Amino acid sequence: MKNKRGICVAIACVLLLLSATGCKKVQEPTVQGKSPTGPSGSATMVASEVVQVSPEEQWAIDNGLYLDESPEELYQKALAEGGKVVIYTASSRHAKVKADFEAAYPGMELIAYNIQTGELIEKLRTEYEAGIRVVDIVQSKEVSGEYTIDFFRPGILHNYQPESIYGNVAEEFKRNVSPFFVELSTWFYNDDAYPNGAPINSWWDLIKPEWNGKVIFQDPLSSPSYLTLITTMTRPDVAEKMAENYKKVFGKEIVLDKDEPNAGYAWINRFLKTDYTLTSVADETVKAIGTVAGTAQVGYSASSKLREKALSMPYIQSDLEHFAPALGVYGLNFVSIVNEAPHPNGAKLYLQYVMGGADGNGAGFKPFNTFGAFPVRPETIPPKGSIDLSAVPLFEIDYEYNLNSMNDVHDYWLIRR
Amino acid sequence: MNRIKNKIINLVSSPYSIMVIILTVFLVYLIVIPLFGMITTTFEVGKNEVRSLGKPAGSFTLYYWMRLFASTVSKKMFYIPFLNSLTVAISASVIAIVLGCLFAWLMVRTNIPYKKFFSIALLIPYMVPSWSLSLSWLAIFKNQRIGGAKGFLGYLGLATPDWLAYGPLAIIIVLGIHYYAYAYLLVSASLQSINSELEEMGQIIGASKGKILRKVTFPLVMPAILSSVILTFTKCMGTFGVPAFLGTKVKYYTISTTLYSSMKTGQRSIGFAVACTLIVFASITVFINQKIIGQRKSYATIGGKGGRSTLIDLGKSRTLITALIILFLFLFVVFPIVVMAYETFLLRPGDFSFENLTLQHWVGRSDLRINSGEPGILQNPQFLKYVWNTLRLTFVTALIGTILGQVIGYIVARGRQHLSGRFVEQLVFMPYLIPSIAFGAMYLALFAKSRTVTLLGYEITLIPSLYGTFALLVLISIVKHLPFASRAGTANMLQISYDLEEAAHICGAGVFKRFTKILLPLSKGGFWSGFMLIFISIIKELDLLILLMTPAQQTLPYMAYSFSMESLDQLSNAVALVLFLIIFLTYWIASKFAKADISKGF
Repeated sequence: MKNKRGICVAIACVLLLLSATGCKKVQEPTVQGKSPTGPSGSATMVASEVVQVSPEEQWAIDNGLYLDESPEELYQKALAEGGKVVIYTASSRHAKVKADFEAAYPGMELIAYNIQTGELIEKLRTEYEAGIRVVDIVQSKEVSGEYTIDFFRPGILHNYQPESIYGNVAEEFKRNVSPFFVELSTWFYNDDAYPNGAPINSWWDLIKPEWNGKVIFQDPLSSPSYLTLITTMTRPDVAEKMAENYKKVFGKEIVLDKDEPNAGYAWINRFLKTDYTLTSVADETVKAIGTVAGTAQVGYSASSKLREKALSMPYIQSDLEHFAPALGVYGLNFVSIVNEAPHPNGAKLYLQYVMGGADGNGAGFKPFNTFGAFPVRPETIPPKGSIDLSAVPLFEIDYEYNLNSMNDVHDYWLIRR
Repeated sequence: MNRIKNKIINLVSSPYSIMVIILTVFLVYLIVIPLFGMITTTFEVGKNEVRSLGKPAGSFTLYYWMRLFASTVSKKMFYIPFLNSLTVAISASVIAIVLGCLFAWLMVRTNIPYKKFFSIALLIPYMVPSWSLSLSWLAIFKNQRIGGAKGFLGYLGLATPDWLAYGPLAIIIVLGIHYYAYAYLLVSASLQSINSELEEMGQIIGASKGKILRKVTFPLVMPAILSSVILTFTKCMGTFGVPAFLGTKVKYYTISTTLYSSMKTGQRSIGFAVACTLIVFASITVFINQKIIGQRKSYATIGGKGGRSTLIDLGKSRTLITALIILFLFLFVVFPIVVMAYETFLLRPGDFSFENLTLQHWVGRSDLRINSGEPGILQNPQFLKYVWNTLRLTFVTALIGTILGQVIGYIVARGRQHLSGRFVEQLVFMPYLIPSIAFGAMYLALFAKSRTVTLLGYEITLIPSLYGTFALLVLISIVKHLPFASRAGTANMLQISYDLEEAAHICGAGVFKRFTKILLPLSKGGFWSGFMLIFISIIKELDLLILLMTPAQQTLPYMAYSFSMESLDQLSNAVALVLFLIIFLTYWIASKFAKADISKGF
């Protein structure tokens, strides 16, 4: 018994070590052959190293997840396995790809289940643990690191990164997950109320008295993305930048209170002392600002909502490039194939399609290639007037710090909310 | 010795006992086991806390309970929301009970005109999902607090203060209006069963109208009032939609919003702990309630003898009271629904002028400038599927649930004096106390995997893997609504005096014959009333099913919910309106052709 526990601890240590170093080496032999699997390019390594391959990894190899098959080839195989693809997603836009996809590949059926991020994880985890395999693709957003560490590394979700699609994608994005597009959150304001440009350009502006009662923020306790953002602010290196920026805005060094461990916590603490408005629904924020002329509020919401400027909300505006010390953290929308998915070939076919096909500009990616979102394939042509992601100031991401400190920051926020 | 033997034989051969045994097994299986699973989860380290607690998943811990009751976050996580919930639930219950009793008394005991119309109109707030009632509240009172489009009053140039637009007052009023239906239904059923001879006797010996009301009528309907207190109070403690829409913007959090946000951000164990607290609290209320009213809860009124009732003449105040009811209906029933309906025809929200009218949200084709390109709901290719799924689920569930409810009702009604009858009654009530989303999560965990035991070499499936099947949705909906179904069944069976059955028994009629020849024909009206009652609550169900639904099984409330999550309020309202029309039509047909009257269901 004791021995068994020892083995468990050993495995846990290895896992921890691997994740702590962000290690990219995949086939680390462990006692039970259960190793963290995952990232791209592992097929070649598997072939050369003679080690035990986990069943998850074996499934990925057997089902050609490391091959670069042509759409025609996949189409025939997909029809043979039933012609279906089931996707769990937090985005309603896959439903819009459905018609085009089914027209391009007659006989195929795309079934999209639109479910909120938190529930998606719960559903996926319960189903998977119970041995139920009904879903092929999961499309969600990696912000905190939960997907990387809890799903990709144990091989519950597989990366599918064929060279023809992912060849030119930056290493930074495809290291942990198979990126779909990058999404940011940004401060929105009403063009009509502030014709001279963004009224705020620092996090510290928000705690000034003139913004009292005019700030709309989504409650981090109802959204993992926002919890990740405020957690990142408390990371020592980021907090230092927050302190520097404080000096710039107020002209003096920040004096921390007893309950403010650093400038990041200080921002949370002081913001929560103002008269802010919290929403629990993402789209509510931008709607509050954008539907009526002259709305004085500013609000933080997904940058992809900028697409609505040309559509239903003419008044929304945002300045992505000038916000100090940084606008926030980026969220990586990813696509993945679930281990032991019932329709692996249909899944591969759809993923190639939705990534924009061979040239990255196909009909599948169209609904996602919108103003305010950032395609990861350099060959994809972004909408006119788009900003380059490199021009946007962003906090660096540290999944380990996030997952370790999230509970503390959660409580810090909750106590003061 | 022989006596004991006879007793055992009696027990085993009596159909009553057999029914009790089967039912108990069924209920333990579907209610007690999941509940037990939920409780144990709160003492085990969950996946999310493995990292922070440094213990393997599944090992024993008191962490969640400590966190809830005795940690730095307890105040914000539990005590304050709990107090808020209590405030809201108590106040809303008071409003609901007062309104419900008043309407019931007016409709049943007085000579108020237009009874037929009123009795349907008064139930409308209950037919509209409570979250869409809160959306129409916002459509009327919304102010500039959160920016964006103004409400109807704001459009007219009236600035509504924050305390009216959001927060406890708004929540209390909306909940009170939605849930007075329980008190109204229960109390009118109870009033209908009172023989007016009792009141007339009081009159003969010279008691005043007020004294009769106090000393005769009130004690007789007391059990019904207390039951409706329980139903309303527990429901208000557990509902999520209304406080989420109206409370969070002004930082007013309740226990249910806490519960839901922990369930939704994956903190299942803490969510379950909150749910357990709610269950314990609700059980205490039920216990106190039972101590007050004792065992005698209703009175047999369909007997061999006929009863009659004389209506109280309202006299001069008749017109005034009628006018007041019409005003109430206009303000709280017609107005919100009309505003909600009107909103679905507005191109831009908040602009109520005629130039802004459109049919886009109903029949418009996909236009990227409107609703992020979502077509009008009747153009939505999924719409008919949603309608079909909703109808299929609701009809199947309501039918099975009602039949089951009648059987349980029979046991409870005939077994009131036995421990077994009371036990079944308690057991059946339990799902009512468990918040829907927690109940859904419990079933997800329980039925995801089939569990077998090997007994004497045979493999027996204890729990089949029902996840993803239509059967599971039906099962969970039935179990969750059993309290309603069995209340309806009990009320139905209690009304049928045992004398009738006894008479048949003496003539040699068996159980089956008694059931089909006496109980069923007499309870037909009650059956359809019970059916409608369950139908109305299931068709609005969302939280219960959302974790269990698969893409092929989505329903209309799910459609409305996903629209509101994307802030497409007009589309969401349009779906809610369709839902309301389906309920209303079904109710109308049932009351027209099957003589259903849900006020008789209780």
